[in-house]
Order: sequence, then structure tokens, then C-alpha cells
Amino acid sequence: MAKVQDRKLNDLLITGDQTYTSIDSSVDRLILNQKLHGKGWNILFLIGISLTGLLGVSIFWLLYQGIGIWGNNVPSAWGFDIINFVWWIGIGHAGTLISAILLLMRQQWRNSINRFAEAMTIFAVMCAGLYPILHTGRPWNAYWLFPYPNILAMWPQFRSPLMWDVAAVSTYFSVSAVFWFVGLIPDFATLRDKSTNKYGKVIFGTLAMGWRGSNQHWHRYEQMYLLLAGLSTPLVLSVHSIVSFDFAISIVPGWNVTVFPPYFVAGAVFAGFAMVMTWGLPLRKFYNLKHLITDRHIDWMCKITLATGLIVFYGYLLEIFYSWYSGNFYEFKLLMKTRFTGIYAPMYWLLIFCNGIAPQIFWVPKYRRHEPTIIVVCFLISVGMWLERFVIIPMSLTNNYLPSSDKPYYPSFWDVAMFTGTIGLFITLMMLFIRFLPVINIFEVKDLFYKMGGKKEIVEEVGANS
Amino acid sequence: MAHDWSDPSGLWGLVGEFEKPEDLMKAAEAAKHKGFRKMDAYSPFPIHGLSEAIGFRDNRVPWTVFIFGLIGVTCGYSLEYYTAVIDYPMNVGGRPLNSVPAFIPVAYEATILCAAFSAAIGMFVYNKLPKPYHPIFNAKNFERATQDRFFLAVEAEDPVYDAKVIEKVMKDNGAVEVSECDY
Amino acid sequence: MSEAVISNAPVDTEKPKFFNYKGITTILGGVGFLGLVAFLSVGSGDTHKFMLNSYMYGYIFWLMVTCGCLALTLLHNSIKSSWTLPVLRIFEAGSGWMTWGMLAIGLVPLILKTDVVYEWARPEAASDFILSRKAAFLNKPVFAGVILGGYALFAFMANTLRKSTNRHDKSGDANEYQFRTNFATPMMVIFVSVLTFVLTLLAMSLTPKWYSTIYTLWLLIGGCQAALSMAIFLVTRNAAKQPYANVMAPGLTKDLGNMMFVLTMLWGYTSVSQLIILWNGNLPETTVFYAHRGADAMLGWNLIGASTILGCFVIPFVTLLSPRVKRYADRLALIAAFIFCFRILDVYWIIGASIPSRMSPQAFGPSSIFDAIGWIVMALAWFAVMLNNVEKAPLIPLYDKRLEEAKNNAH
Repeated sequence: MAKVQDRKLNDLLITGDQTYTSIDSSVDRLILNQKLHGKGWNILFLIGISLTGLLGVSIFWLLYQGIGIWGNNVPSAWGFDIINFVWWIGIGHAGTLISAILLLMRQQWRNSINRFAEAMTIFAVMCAGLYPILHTGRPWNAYWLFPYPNILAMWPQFRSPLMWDVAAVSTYFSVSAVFWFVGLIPDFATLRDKSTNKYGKVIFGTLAMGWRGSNQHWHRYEQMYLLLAGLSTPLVLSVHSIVSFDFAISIVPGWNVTVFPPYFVAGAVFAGFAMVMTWGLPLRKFYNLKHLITDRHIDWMCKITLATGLIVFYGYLLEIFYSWYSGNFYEFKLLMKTRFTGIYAPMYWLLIFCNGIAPQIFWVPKYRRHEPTIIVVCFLISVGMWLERFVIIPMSLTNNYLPSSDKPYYPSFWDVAMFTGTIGLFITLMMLFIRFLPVINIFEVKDLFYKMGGKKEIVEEVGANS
Repeated sequence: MAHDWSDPSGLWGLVGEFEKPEDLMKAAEAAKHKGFRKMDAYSPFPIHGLSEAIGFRDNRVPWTVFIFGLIGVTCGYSLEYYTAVIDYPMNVGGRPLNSVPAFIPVAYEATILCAAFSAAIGMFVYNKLPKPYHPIFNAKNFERATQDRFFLAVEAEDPVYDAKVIEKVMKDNGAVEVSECDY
Repeated sequence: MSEAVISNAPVDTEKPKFFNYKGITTILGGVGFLGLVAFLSVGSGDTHKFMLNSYMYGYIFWLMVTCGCLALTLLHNSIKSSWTLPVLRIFEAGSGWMTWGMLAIGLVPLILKTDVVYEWARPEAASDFILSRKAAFLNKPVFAGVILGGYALFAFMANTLRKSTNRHDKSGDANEYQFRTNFATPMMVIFVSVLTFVLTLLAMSLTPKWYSTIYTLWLLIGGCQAALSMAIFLVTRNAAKQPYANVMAPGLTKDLGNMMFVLTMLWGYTSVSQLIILWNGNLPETTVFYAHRGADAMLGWNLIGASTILGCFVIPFVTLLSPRVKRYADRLALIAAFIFCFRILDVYWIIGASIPSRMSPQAFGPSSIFDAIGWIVMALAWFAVMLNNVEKAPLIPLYDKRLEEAKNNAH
């Protein structure tokens, strides 16, 4: 029988002797004291901005030459563009999950990680959005996707999941942006009142929109915040479900799978939490935020990663079993000839390792607090979730009903360049965010601090009678 | 009685500064019992129960969201119906013109979009934000209202405004400082 | 909050309602169930055939309630939630080893007369192209082995947790808590995985060529909805009686209502996902599930389907959105009862329409009487076991005082 785990020092939601002022300053010094950002920031930013340059070059070349520079061609009309689209949008989902679902479930540990997770959401969706727009081939006509009265006398085809995608992703981006911005307003007010130089005062003063912390304002603010959370929760579920419909409602082998919606959502959250930890662990280390992002937070995030990872793994199990049980020749052929064996098989088995086996280490409490392990596992998960989309897209498209589909897919140089470029864009935006916006939700952490009110624990303690 | 903005001076109200949210809450409750109505509290984070203490109730935001959600779903589905059935009917794989299961996702997203924007915009509208200038910003030490202090302000326009009573209520409940605030 | 009154009835100490029907349900349920099982196991002829087909519906409905109870027990123990405490004992009692034993006995006629219900068990299946490919899984030994093995495993899970809570009640040893968490979390994974195979054999293979990967989750969420609404009904109707009066608070009813809301959303989500995917895919082998359920008919499956959209999703969704419903125990009891009634219809729509001899748009016919009889007998038997089981421990766990503290600290 397992013992009640020993409570280590850094195990509360906020540690150390804190006051409201110390909480303020531990977050806002990142903005108000620009000298704090040293060489590390410069190097990462430089890497990010260079890769963003690569993205610019690839986009230029793409527009100049057309999408023929990519590796996707019939039968694999979808390649890196959709793989990366789904990968990025999945990464974004943890942000919404943390800010919305955990808020509704009154999980107060979310308060110190939601801000940068939300930022990640927005940046990831930006990276994701690039792909379908560019894949249209004529991005300057991308507005045709929206229903507007036009002289062509045509309307978008709303029976198509690609149109659902347009609706879902644009809604998701705008609602996440609104959620993020309204969440920032009280913090902008704090920064306005704390900044000493003129620019800071003017910029944050403008952004704060005259927020004065009035109780009436807070009253409506909280109502709105809760409602936004309530709306974002079904939204985040629907977005990745709709992304999964892109595949699931077609009849390609391996795609017409009814469990895709929940399985995609779980996968998205899985990848997203891995990415939150990939950023969160260095962030708290290099900017001394361990008293606000504690081991308890990391522990919880690992648990959620494990849980969602198990759902994803269950999805793989279902795919295997039902592709046989269906009695459908093509489904089973896909499984045996393309996934288990064949030229892509290593990617399938690597996927099983990264998503199925590696996260199981989080069953052991010790490793949920061991930073190097977590970083490695999170990296593997990011790779694994990318592979999952690879397994779904080119593998199914190159093993289809017709022998003519039997033609492998290889990415081109520009596919890889553009993918690296979006990673660069993501890094650049994150670095700018760390430097110029509060990375932790100041007012919510103060709220949490108040609710803890000197008590050691806000989380209901296990074994209440002990 | 509205303030005459041509007069640059004039008393806006009395502002008390507190160190603890509990004190603010007690003072607000006491002031409410004394009959003050035109008052508001200012704090760096939302304080649960403060609205009840002050006697403030407003459910317009949830109702706005509900109504806009209904508008969203109606508009979303109507758009699909109009484009796919009336204006541009097209046979797609033998599916009916009004393909209900296929029209669920867009109508759903339209609902969320309308409801979410109405929540955020509603909050701004009902709060009368953005508002770059407000007399409370003139209050002493008020920059700490977004940091670590808690303020209670009773406006001079309150029908039963009485500086002495208010000051006593605030001081009795732990105000560290009570000061007048001008327009 | 001045409206903190939960129920207007005065607090009294007599035994909670509904829990004192133990004697009569035990007699009726025991006799009815054993009689029915015996008849189905050895009988023959048309009545027997009708009855056995109809029995599937009642059996699977109560199996899903049991699974829902077990799933929620496992969930409670893995996340240590406090709001489940008042309903925990009902879940434990509803998924104890005795219930699994009863379900195992109830499986006997299905094992003996597999071919009456399942097409794949008939000799013709061997010559069918698709069914012959599935024969390695869809056959009698696997059917009996997997399902009975699954029940044994589920009974073991439930029993281990139940024993631990009982020990915990007596000793107050907080290590038990950690033990249950460590046990329940992996068990949840195993439970869902094994249940997938159990339900594929038992329910999905009623339409042997049809398959849907979300099926287990869909049914399990429905089962959880049924289990939770039943438990909430029992608890909230007894809000004024001990021991529930000790813990009833607006915060608790709100949490219970919210959980029901979440399950309602999930049920809608899984249902609509499956519909959108199969409807748009438009393949004959998968749309067979919706073809006769959606066809035009007077009092047909389409009517039941439409009413479950309203009764299992729209109405609970709108009602549970309102904080005013969730604050009062009596109102919550009403909506819980409503949801439970529509769960009965929904399972009828899922299982009833899958029974091979009923693959027509007509939902009701002479066999509906048999459906009702089968359901009622199973219901009596299930409640008999549950009520006998629930008595063996205090209705609210003694070891965890969080709810009582929450109630005392409020206001």
C-alpha cells in the first residue's frame, strides 16, 4: 500500500513569504525592468527572428512559384501543410483548457499558468492559420471563404468540413484573443500605475482603458469572465472536433472513424500541456518564478498530460481493433501494410513510443517533479503528436482504394523550411510576450493569495480528518 | 444632480483607504446600513461577497449573452439555409438541400462567436469603459488600488452624504487613511 | 445569500425515503429475475424468442447503469472530489460484486441461446463474407469468456474500493485515500478498455456488420448520466432527512447539477459526433444504424430519437444552465427524474432498434410489452441488490468531513 506522499517544500500554490507587492513585482519586473532580460533572451529571440525570416522567404517563394514547391501532390494532396496546421492548432488548445475549463472547475492552480498558456494559444493559432490560407494557393483571395454577397453569385459550401474549419478556427482565434485581452486589462492597470516612465504610462494607460478596479466593474467583469469561460469550453471542444471532421466525414480508410472528435481533442490537450510545460519550466527557472509556478503546478500538469495521453492511447487501441472488427478490407490493409509494416512503419512505432509509452513515466510521482525528465517527455510528446498527424494524413492518402494511390509522400525542402519558420515565428512572439506583457495573471494570483489567507493550503487537503 | 464640468474644482467624494479586504468589506456593509447608496469599492482583484456588502446587483451581462447566443444560432442557421436552399441550391452527393447534420457546426460556431463577443462588449458597455478620466484617480494614493490597497468611496452626490459620518464609519472599520477627493 | 433554504420540509431523523422498500423489491426482483432467467435459459417457441430479444434492452440498460456507477466511483476515487461524497455510497452499492454477479446470472440465457438474438451465432454467418472474417471474435466462447471475465474484473475493482472505504470509515487512516487513488486511476483505464470489448460483443454486435469506435464512450456517458441522475434523485428527494440534511448546501446541489450538466453536454457531443461522421460518410455499412431510426413512420424510431434530443439534451441543457434550478434540492430532483426517464427512452432507441428482428422504422409493436416486462424485472432485481448493498455502510462516508465543513463554514 502506498504511503501518503511526503510534502516537499515547493509544494503549495504560492510559496515563500509573499505580499501583494511582492507578487506584483515578481511579475511586472519582467516588463518594468528591461535590463533583466539578458543574453538568453537575446539568443532565443535571434533564433526566433532568423527562423521567421526563413518563413518569410518560404512564403515569398511559395507565392512566386505556387504550391508546387511543396511535396504534396495527388494522391497526397494534403501533406505538411495540414499536418502542421493540425499540430499547431492542437498545441493551442491547452491554453483554452487551462483558462476556461479549469476556471469552471474552480481549479485555482490554473491562476498562475493561464496567461502564458493563453498567449501560446493565440500564437499557435496564428501559426496554424497560415497553412490553410497559404494552401489555397492564392491567399489574397482567402476572403472568398467567408460568406459575403458577391458578384460571382456564389456562396461557400457549408456542407464541407473545410468551411466548418473556417468558421471554427476564426471563431476560436477571435474568442481566444478577446478572452486574453480582457484578462489583461486589470494587469494593464497595475502596470499603468506602477510604471515610472512616460511610454509605459501612456501605453499601458491606453490599454487599461481606464480600469479602476471598481467593485461594480469587477462584478460585471467576473460575470463576463465566467461566461467567456463557459463559452470557450464548448468552443475548444468543437474546434478540434471540427478539425477531426476534416478527416472523419470522408471515407478514406483510417479516417472515417467515429471516435475521432474526442480523440483529437484529447490529443490536442495532450500536446498543448506538453508545450505549456516546455515553456513553463525554463520560464520559471530563468525568471525566478518558482514561488508562483510551483512543483504542485507541474505535478498537476503532468497528471493531465498522462490522462489525456491515455485517452489518445485508447484511441490507437480502438483504431487497431476496429479496423479489424469492421471487416473492411481497406481499413485492415491500411493497418497491416502501411502502419505496422511498410516504409512509414518506423514513424508509426515511434508514435506509439512517444505518445503511448513515454508519458507512462508520469505514473511515478517522483518523475512528475523531476524537471529534466519532464522536458524530455514533453519534447517526445510534441514529436509524437506531430507523428500522429503524419500517420493519419499521408499514410491514409497513400494507401487507398486504388492501386494508383500507392505512391509515397515525401516533404520537400520548402515544407521543412516553412515548418521551421513557423516554429521561429512562435518563438519570436513568445519572447516578445515574455518581455512586454505580464506572463502571469497578476490579479488572479493576488486573488488566490487572498483566498489562501495565511492558510497553507487552498486545495482541499486529502484525508480531512487527519 | 449632475456635476457641472465647467467648474474645475468641487468635491467628488470621500475616499477611505484600507489595508485588508476584510476591513473594506466591513466598512462597506456599515456604510450601507447608514444609508449611503452612491458608493463604490476599488480593489486590485475581485472580492467575493463585496457586491452583496455594498448592495450591488446586476445581471444584464448574462442576459445579454443569452440573447446574443440565440441571435447567433438563428443568424448562423438562417445564413446556411438561405445560401444552401434558397439562393444557391446545389446537389452535393445526393444530400438534401437542408442538410441539418452538416449545418450544425457552423450554426454552433456562430452562436459561440456572437455570445462571446456580446459578453466582452457588454462588459465594456455596462461598465462605461473605456473611460480615460475619472475623479477617483485624483484620490490620494489611488495608484495602489491596482496593487495592494483597497478603497471605499462615497460620492458627495449621495443624498445623505455626511463627511463626518462616513469618516467615522471608515475609521472604525480600519481605514488607514480617509481623504477628500475632488473632480 | 438569503435563499440558502434547501427544502421547506423540517429536518427529521427517520430513515430516508425509497431506501425502505428493500423487502418488497428483494422478493419481487428475486422471484421475477430468477424466473425470467430460467424461462429464457430453457424455454423455446415464439414467446421465448420475443422475450429473449426484448430482454436485451432491459439487460443492457441496467448494465449501463451499473457501468455508470462504477465509472463514477472510479472517477471519485481518482480525483478525490468532494461533491461525489453524498452519492458515492449509491454508486458503490449499484456497482458492487453482487450486482455484477446478478448481471452474470442474467447473461446465462444469452450464452445458452446466443443464436436467438445474434445473427453472427447462426450457422448462416459462416458463409457470410464479412461475418466469417469476424468469426475469430464474434463466437460463443469469446462472448462468454470476455463478458464474464470483464464482469469479474469490474467486480474486483468495485469490491476493492468498497472494502477500502469501509476500512477507512472504521480506522480513519488517511493512507486508504491514497491507496484508492493509486488503485482507481489505472483501473479506470483498464475498465474503459475492457468495457469496449464487452459492449462490442454484447450490444454493438446486435447489428453485426455495423461498427462505430465512439460507441463505448457514447453508451458509457449515457450510463453515467443515468446513474448520476438516479443517485441525485435519491439524495435530493431526501434532502431534509438524515444523513443528507447534514451536507445539503447550495454549493453541493450546484456541483451535482453542474456534473449532470457536463454529462448532458458530453452525451450531446458524442451523439452528434457519431451522427455527423456517419451521415456525411454515407457508407451503406455504417448508415445502416441510422437508416431505419430516421425513416418516416407513425410512432417510429425517429419520434423516439427526436424526443431524446429534446429530453436528454435540449431541456436538461437549458434547465441546468440556470443557477436557480441548481440551488434547490427539490428542483434538482425534478430534473434528475426527467433525465432518467429520457435515458430509458434513449437506450430503447439505441438497443431496441438494434435488435435484428426489429430493423424497421416502427418502434412499437406487440414486443413492446415484452420490452417493458424485461426492463421492469431487471429494474426490480437491480434495485433489490442495490438496496441490500447500500445498507451495509453509512449512507455518507464518515471519513471525509469536507462536505459538512463546507456547510458549516458557509455564511
